[in-house]
Amino acid sequence: MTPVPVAAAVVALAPAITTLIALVADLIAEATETGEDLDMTTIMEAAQARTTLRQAEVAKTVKAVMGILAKKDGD
Amino acid sequence: MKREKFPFVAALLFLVLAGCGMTPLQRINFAGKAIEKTWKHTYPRLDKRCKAEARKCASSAGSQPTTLPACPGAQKCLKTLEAFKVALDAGDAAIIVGAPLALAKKPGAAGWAKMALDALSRAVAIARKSGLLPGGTP
Repeated sequence: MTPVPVAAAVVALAPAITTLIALVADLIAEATETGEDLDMTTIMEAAQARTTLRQAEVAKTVKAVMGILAKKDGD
Repeated sequence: MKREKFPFVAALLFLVLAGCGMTPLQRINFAGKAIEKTWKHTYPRLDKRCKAEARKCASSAGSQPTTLPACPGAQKCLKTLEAFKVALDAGDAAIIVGAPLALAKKPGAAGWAKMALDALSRAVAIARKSGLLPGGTP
């Protein structure tokens, strides 16, 4: 790869890279900021709540897709 | 390395770097927040795509109802959604097991933190493969 395409690639990918860096930096800051006050119950309950929510949302999508295919109101 | 793969590699690199220097409890907390953000980002897009595929199928079938097996696009989309959910569920399961160990500063905690981050990486790979994250092809 020559220097010119590398530079072009860096310029083209700059917005995506910046977004990723910001997202990860934000996550790290959130995770470390509260490092002293991390509570086991909160972490476990949040994980359980996320799992339940995902299950419900997937079921909702499946139902909607089936409704659309069956020519019922899917949304 | 293909140019379009770079953002994904960068994301993984940052995840690995993020894991360094953090306690297992912080890593577990980090994984939990990342799992939440990944789902919030990707689920609405997958939902929209699955419904669009179903509508496409329904309209081509005319006025007759159709079935999921007769609609490969929607079927594939739902399979992707399920695989994505299962990967994130594995991450949250690792968090549920690892959090008490991490708080008690037991040695197994780091392994569970790694499992949670690995599950997150798998989910990101699924989303990337379906073209919903940078670096993938639909």
